[in-house]
Amino acid sequence: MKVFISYGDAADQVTALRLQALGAANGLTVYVPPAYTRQGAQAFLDPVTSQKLSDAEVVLGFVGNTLSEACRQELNTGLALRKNMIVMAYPHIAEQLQPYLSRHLVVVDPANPDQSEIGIVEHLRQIEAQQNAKKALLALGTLVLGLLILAPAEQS
Amino acid sequence: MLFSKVLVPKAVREELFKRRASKDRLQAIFANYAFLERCDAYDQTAVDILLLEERRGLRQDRGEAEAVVQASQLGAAVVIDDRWGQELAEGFDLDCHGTLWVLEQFHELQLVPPGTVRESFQKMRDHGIRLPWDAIDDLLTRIGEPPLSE
Repeated sequence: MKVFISYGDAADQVTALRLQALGAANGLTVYVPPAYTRQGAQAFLDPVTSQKLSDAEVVLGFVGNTLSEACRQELNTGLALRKNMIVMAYPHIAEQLQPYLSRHLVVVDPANPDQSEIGIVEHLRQIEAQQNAKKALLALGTLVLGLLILAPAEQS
Repeated sequence: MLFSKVLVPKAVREELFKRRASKDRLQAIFANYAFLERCDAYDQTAVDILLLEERRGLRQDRGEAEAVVQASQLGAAVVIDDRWGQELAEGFDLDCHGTLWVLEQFHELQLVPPGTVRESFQKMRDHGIRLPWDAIDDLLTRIGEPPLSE
């Protein structure tokens, strides 16, 4: 299964790379856009990113602090291509994403992490994939959740 | 040039530095060619995750894992001959090639004549480097050179 990880801004890339390592080691093909895509406001997605998005079966998004233009474009493209999507974000960013990502959004509330976990499971239920791929995605989603919950003070 | 920049991860350098001859050669290349750079700025935790998940702690495996993480972080192609490293690069959805491809490109760009391509592969074979020798023989035949296995 091919997964595209879209991350909020340059500061979130480290988390994306660690998720990529976990996913790849567990049999998924995971693409993370390179660091340069988060530098400056790009008017359009670069061709490699567009191709990888098009190839992906699942788009896993997480926005820790800031929604960069590149991330916004990736998520919009994911929507336009009708990809299976799960986007995790803190409440303050989630407000910004809610209008157009509502169906795909999992709000990570550090005070209620169980609700976020339920949200991830609900989204996975809608995704058509083999059981082992779903397990791997659940693991990745849970990991994002953990990373976002463990760093709320830093983010706020 | 085939690449505008070639980054060499720490673990790969350490591996090459084990032998005096390759250490001296690599240091001379670093000193003389600006396109070749040492690179240590990549996420070591992601590398550790790969080695833990794959239960591989071998030093030579670290080189491959570092190259893959570094390439993903920067959006670069990765040159790896080791099978495990190539599978890893596949999992990271990277543009991955081996030494065979590099020399083939050099030849196609007319940077290296066929005889030098053969000579380079011969040296690698003499040094006991593991490469896809059947595919290399095919390439040599295609470019009008006798295969190494003859």
